[in-house]
Amino acid sequence: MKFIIVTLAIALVAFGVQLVLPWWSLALVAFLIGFVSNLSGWAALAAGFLGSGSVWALYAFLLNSGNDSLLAHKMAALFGVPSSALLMVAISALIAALLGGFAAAGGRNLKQLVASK
Amino acid sequence: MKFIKFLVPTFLALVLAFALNGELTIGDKNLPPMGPLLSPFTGFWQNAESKEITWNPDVKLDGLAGSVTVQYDARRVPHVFAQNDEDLYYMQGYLTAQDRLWEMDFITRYASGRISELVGERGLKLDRTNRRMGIAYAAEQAAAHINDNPTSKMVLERYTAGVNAYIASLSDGSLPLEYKIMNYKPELWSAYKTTLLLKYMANNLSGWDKDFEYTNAYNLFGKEITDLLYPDRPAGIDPIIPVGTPYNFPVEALDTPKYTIAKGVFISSEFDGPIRENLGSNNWAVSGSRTNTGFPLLASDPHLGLNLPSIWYEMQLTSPSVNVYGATLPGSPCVIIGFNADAAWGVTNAGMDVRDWYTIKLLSNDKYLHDGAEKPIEYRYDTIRVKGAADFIDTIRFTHFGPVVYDERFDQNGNTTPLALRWTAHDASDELMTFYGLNRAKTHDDYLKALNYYYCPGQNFVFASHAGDIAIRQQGHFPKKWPEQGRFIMDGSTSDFEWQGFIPFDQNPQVKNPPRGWVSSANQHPADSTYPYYFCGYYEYDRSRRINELLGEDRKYTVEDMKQFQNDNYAYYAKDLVPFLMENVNDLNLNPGQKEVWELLKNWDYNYTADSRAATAFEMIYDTLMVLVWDELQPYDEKGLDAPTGYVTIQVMKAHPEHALMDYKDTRPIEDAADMLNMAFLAGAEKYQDWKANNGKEPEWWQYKNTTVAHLVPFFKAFSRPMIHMGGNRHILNATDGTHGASWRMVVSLEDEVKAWGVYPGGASGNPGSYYYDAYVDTWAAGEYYGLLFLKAPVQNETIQFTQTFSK
Repeated sequence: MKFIIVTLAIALVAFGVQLVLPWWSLALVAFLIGFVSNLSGWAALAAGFLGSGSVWALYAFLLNSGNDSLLAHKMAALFGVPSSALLMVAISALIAALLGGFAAAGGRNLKQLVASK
Repeated sequence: MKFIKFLVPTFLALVLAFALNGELTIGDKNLPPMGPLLSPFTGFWQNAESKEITWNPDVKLDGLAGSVTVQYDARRVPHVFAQNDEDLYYMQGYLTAQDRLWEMDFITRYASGRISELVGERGLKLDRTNRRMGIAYAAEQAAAHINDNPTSKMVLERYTAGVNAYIASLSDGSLPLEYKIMNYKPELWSAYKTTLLLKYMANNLSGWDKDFEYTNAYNLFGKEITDLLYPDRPAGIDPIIPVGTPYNFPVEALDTPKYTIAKGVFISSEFDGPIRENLGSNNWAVSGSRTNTGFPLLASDPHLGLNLPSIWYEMQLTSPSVNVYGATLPGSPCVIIGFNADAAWGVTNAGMDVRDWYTIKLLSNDKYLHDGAEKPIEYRYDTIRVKGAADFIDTIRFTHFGPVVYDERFDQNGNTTPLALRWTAHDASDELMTFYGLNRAKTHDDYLKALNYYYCPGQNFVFASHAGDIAIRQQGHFPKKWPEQGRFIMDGSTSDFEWQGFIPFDQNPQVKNPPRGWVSSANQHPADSTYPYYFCGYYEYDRSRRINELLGEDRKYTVEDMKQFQNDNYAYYAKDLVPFLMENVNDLNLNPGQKEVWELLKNWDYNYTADSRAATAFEMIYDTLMVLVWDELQPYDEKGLDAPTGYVTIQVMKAHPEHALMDYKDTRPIEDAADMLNMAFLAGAEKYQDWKANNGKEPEWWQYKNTTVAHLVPFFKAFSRPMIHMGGNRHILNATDGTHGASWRMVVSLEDEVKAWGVYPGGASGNPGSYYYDAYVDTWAAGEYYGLLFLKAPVQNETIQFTQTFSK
């Protein structure tokens, strides 16, 4: 339950913050929420991964469906990857997921470090 | 341990964030900033537009005085209804930027020699060429000159303000896609950028000549062969001004100096091999006495490079002073080719030689010799920013002729003589007023008044009015020349070889309501030898003969005829050559593969239809023939020579079949024209059968020529439209080859309620992520048209998909 709440919190706050701040602001969000989360290290990593990744995945998926995959296919061709909009969604989301996951774990582990001193 | 547990993920997060926030070089690949580019909040996903317009219906813009209604029709063409001209041109700037900002920004950077800023050192040669040709210098002259005219100043200022209002509204997410991939930002627009765009077009259409190549030919082969290969006036031309049209004005003789031609071998950096035969255009108008409605018909299709985003942007512009519809150039106010309720106009390129080269005798670093005296050199220091490398500072000398393009600093290819360029594009002019005037023209007089502002690049302006006039004038600032002046590089140390003034505009080649009942142009010679002034240039011979044949029938013409003619695939050069080839090729000993090609040609009607195999076979033979016949001139780039045109080649082969140049030097016997035709036929037939075997399909013409509408950045192949199923070729009315073609096709019927049809190979939007990016391409390829929606006031019906109101 706690894991789901933290994941959702990361997703929601990261969504709001990225409407105004650059893409990497999602790392700050994940880091801070990871810091206050009380999850285990691996769980924080997973929450950051899923929370951040899902925001990008869902938003990209939504924009893509309004566009009938027109641009996603062109971008796939530009990057020389198979012509699949879902693959482009997955590649995009992976960036956010990795960044969010590492940041959340870093935040959570910072708290452990601070708490132990 | 806990410290490491903190450090490792935090470090990884930081590395990831930093690495993906900027450009990455992996091996020889340069990746754009992947984080911002793939983010659905700021990246390319934001450019993935839905087909339905989802814009704000009510937009506040500080720069407007009144309220402006913009209606987007089914094809998303904007129809602008403004209450005054200030608001009208403001909105033209705003709406053009909304659809085409990246394109107009990119083209003007290109024109001013700033591509290295985006692509690094590989852009440097191109940038230096454009700068040394003085394109930016010309744009500066024009921008300063335009300030003297309150009307064009107002139009440009308002257009600029509109573009900049749009730029100010952009966020990271709404930035055009190309900026995101190439990782740079738009710059504010200015009047200078508009003049840069106009000079880019001037360079495209008049910024080339064959002075170097002709000089080299003269020095290598002498005058007789030079005239044979590159004649000023070959036999059989069908000029724009009908033969027999009187020229009723006196012409004073010019001081003609004794002929001297610069010695040496001159090879220019812009050398692009054989002449650009694929640039050109058609236009014509048919008098009401010869149409089914009794009112004139006008057609115009400019042939340019086929690019996305398209060079044209369709618009209707309405204010109390104007209601005009047509093709605009992104970056320039007004409609360039179009119509209003009373009149229509179109353009083709004049091809008149308005660029001459002069040898400069440097006396010292800052003086050169002229008429026995010293003249000062002005220096211009151009700093070129180069991505990933240090700035490059180019030093450009300026003489009274113009810039010294080639000197010890740039691209002499062994020639040590500095060469200065005299080019009418450098002269201050205000072409914008021409389009401002044409947009409002009602009568033939209005048309002439508007044309008088037009200097460069020379164009054939065709005109038709509801009142019943048809006309054509070759308009531009054309130097008066003594015979052959400027065909070759001239001596710049004396004023003997300089231009002695310009042809008055009312003496430019022109005709109004000729007895034959039609006017037309297709880049051919403007006039025959009865025209009182000498001129030379770069001309076409095939399309003009075809269109005049089509328009010369004794019948009433319809709109459908005009559309058919613009899409006509008949090749005069094939008609000139194929029977000659068949006469000369010995068909007795042909193998089955050769026999197949023989039969194709025998049964061919000379139409380059999309599916024609005969066209492919002929093209292969023709290309081979041109290489074989002119082997003495090759390699062109090393010798600095030009291939004669196909038209002249066929004439020389027929008139001088045993000329020494006919011999193919790599073979032992001495060949004549018939041998060339035999060799070309056999080699072409082999090429045909090889292509078939290698590709495993029939060599249909469209497959072989591969017409591609390519994104302006060659690297963006994913944003291009390759392999378009269509016929046509250079020298054919449907002038679609692999890379060039009709960039806008328009037909106007000047009835009581003006009717018009048009299409271009692109779409309203410049965004590769938009449905409207290339929405018209298939219609264009099929030779079909859209009815153009000419509104008198805003309407509420199914023709409009979205209405926006802009106000303060």
